Amino acid sequence: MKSHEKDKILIIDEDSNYIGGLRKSLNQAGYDVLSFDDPHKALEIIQDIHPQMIIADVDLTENADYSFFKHVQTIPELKNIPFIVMSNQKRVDDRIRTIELGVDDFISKPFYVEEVVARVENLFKEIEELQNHEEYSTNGFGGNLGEKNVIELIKTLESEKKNAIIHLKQGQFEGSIFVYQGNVHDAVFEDFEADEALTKLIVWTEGRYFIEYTDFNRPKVIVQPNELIIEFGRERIEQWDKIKYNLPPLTSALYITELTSTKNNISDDERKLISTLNGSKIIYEMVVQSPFDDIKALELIFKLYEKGYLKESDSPFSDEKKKVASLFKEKVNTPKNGDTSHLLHNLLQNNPQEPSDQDEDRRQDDRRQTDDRRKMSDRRRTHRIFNQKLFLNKTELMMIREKLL
Amino acid sequence: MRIGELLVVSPPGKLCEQFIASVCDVLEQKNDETCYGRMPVNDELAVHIYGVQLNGNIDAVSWDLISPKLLGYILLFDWDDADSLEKLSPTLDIFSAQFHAPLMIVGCVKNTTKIPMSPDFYEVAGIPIEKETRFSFCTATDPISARKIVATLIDILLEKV
Repeated sequence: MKSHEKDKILIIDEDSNYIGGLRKSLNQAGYDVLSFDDPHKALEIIQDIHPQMIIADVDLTENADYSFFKHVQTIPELKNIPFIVMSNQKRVDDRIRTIELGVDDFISKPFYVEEVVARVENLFKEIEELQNHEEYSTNGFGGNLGEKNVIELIKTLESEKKNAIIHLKQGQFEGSIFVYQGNVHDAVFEDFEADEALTKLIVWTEGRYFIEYTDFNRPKVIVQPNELIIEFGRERIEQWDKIKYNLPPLTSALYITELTSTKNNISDDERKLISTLNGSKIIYEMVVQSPFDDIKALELIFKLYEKGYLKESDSPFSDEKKKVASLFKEKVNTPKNGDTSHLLHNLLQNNPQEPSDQDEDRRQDDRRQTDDRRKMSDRRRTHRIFNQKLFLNKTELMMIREKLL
Repeated sequence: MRIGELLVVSPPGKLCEQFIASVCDVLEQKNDETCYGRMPVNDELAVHIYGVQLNGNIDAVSWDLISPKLLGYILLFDWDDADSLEKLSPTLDIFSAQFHAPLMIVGCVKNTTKIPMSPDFYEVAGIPIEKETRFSFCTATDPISARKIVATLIDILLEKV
């Protein structure tokens, strides 16, 4: 069940043409949607509705008074509700002005309904992450496991003799190590607990950590002293790193090649590992889901990889840029004096993420110009690919930009 | 002090340090494979630019530079040197697979007023191959041209926030 299932979204747009499709799609995505074509009516009952998000059409022209948004901001229990603005206004200045007012996101009309749904989903997700982060920030610290690995974190807590939970995250995987007065007390990771979970987590040298200083109420299930855990961890990391060195990054996906059908020189253990694979899978996922000890699983993966039974598959993020790479390779093969501009032209024309002619026919709407579709499509893609929080804020970025030009 | 970081990658040669020197006015450090420049914006904010030269060996790159402060990557190549381009292709793949940050792919030319392409295919800021990857031309020794590249990358980020 999705966490947002009961989230209520209020849509306000005087143009009811936009409301229908959007409402339907958001409903299908599991949201409870209320829509109004009259902002005044919406204001009358907004406090009773108490939505979790507002999507409103706002006039962005210079004389716009943003009265609806400003009014919502005056209501204490509503002022922190995420607010998305939809507008026909295309000027970047106006968008910036809108966002500076405190609006959370901006959507240009015409839009793809799917884009709005994706943005709504992302905004809810970002807010949830932010809330988690704020909660942690008041009582702990975080960082990159590449800079400080699990062993070093345990040593830090040992020297501080504090109660804390080490939260670990590597791609889709999350785990926790509980430390009581500086001593490792318990661990959880996926379906694993105690020593088993700790054995898996202790080799992590990639991903993020967050140390939350907090008391917890759990029995002590890990009995080894820190000294032994650390020694054991160091040995594991050394073994782990040796094997890992010969493999693609653990976040890479591998798939079973057709060669496995011949199965000439596959050991029983390798066969057993292959039987747990289905389609392409991230290496670390293979390790976690294998019936073997992590080191053993990684070794088997390496052997299969070395024999050509497992091959690296494309990253989900690489398709677009691989096109650029292949384009460049084409350029390399093009005579220097030749006109290479057609290659870039082809790249733009053949972009598979652009709507196809059929899609365009299907989505035909008098309001939506082809250029707008392309821009919308681009923006949706951007939103998908950018998933990393920016270190600098918008004002700082604008200051840098000003300095540059 | 708030710091934004940029990573500039180029094939062996002067491109990297020329580019960073153009953006930052002065190169603070350099050795055979790397260089570093700093562009202060004000007392509280600065951009640090790390330059790495590639010699076909991706493992030679100190990827540890990649940090949460990273704003994006700039890949420079010599537009007139096919080898220069070939050397950067694997890096493109690495960026694609590993990192989620804006990428500027920059064909370095001697004079941006004589760009060897039809103007139909690029805008002033670059060709929008996709929103987080752009292609553009630049003259690495020209501060205005080099700074425009960084500004374009900042624009991509501004689109995001």
